[in-house]
Amino acid sequence: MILQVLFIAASFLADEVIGGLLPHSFMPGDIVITPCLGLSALVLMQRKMDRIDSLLITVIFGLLYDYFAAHTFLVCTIVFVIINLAVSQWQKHITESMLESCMLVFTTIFVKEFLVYFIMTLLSETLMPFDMWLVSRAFLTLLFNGVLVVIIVWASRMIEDVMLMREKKIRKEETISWWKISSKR
Amino acid sequence: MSRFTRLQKLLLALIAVLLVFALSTNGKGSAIKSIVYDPLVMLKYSILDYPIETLQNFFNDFNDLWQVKQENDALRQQLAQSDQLSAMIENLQRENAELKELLGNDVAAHYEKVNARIISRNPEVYNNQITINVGAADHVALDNAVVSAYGLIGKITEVNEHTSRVRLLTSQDQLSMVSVQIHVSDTEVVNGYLEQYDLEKGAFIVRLYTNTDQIRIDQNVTTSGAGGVFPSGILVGTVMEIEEMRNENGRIVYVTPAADFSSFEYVSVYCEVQP
Repeated sequence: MILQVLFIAASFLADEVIGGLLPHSFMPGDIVITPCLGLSALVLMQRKMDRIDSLLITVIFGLLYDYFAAHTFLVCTIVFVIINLAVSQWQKHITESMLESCMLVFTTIFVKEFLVYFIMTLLSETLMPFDMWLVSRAFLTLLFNGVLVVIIVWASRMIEDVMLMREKKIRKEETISWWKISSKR
Repeated sequence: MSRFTRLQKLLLALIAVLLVFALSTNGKGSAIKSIVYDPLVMLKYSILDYPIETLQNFFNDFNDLWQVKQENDALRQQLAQSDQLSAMIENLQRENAELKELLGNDVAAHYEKVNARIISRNPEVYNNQITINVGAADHVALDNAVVSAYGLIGKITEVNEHTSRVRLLTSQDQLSMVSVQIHVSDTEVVNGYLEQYDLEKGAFIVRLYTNTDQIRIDQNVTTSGAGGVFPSGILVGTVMEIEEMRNENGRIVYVTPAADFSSFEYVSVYCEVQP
């Protein structure tokens, strides 16, 4: 669990680094590319977690992201929780192959962008028309993250392999003290 | 038997603490927020953003090196005139103070410019807000005007001890109204207010208080100082287009922003200093 949480935290930090390198603009209609490694890691790791644990971790990361990165109140938390609930239902119907994992993450990124746009429009924070959003926000973000998705899926598989090896090592070291086994009779 | 494990109870407690903290500090500065928020934002800026910016600036500077000498020569010539201009400004300031005294005005609050650097920005959410590295300790207060090298960019909406939040004029939540004046001639101005930013035209929408036909393209638009919030004379932009309103009397003026909102790193804050 700690390894998974650290992986998610490192992915969010990588988002900040990549975001600093990308060109950014404050003009509302200009093109904006948003790296989404953190959310991708969250979605990939939650498949191996207990349902309640994954929900709680999602809420915590959402609150931290809201407060320190996005400077909004509960917007990103709500988006992350909705995605968590959707993915927990969807993952019952998919396997863990590389292609399906990439598709899952890619779809998640689009849903997240759309949800943020929808909430911001409801809150009257933006009056951006839908076609402008598609061109200036969604399209290039998906294109850019399409490359990063492969990297994050590969990294998550490495984490899962490390965890599996740890479990095997623990299992190997387990012994039964036969002399302590007592019968109930 | 409890439904939640020990770890889950710990996570729930952490969520409760974060929620209470976020609720209590949402939208306003406070001592607690200054203790927690300022150091973390500064730390993130120092460890992540500043090294990346330095690397980017190094490559940009190397590319610009060849143009520097030519620009240097031109600037030397302009600098030679600065002494003369300083003397003229001092003289005008003195005359202005004398005239104000004669008119019997109360001594107006003065403004000082505090330079700042942007340390946090997130265009992912659409609120068009940035964080700068000056705060209450630098005499920054709520609603202070924030300018870039070219013109007005926004106002202070939240003040902590060492950081402040700026809402840009390009935000579309109609909370960035500014009283402006259009300079129709050397001696005449037309007053209005900057309502919001129009996405499609890429310009500010200015509504006038009076119906006048003196407005022309390329006239300067500055802050009027009405209301005492912003100082007067800060450049906002230039007139781009004038449109007649369809269902009512009057005109809408579209103003091209003077400031370049595509990118800036350094800003200045006009802080009020009571004499």
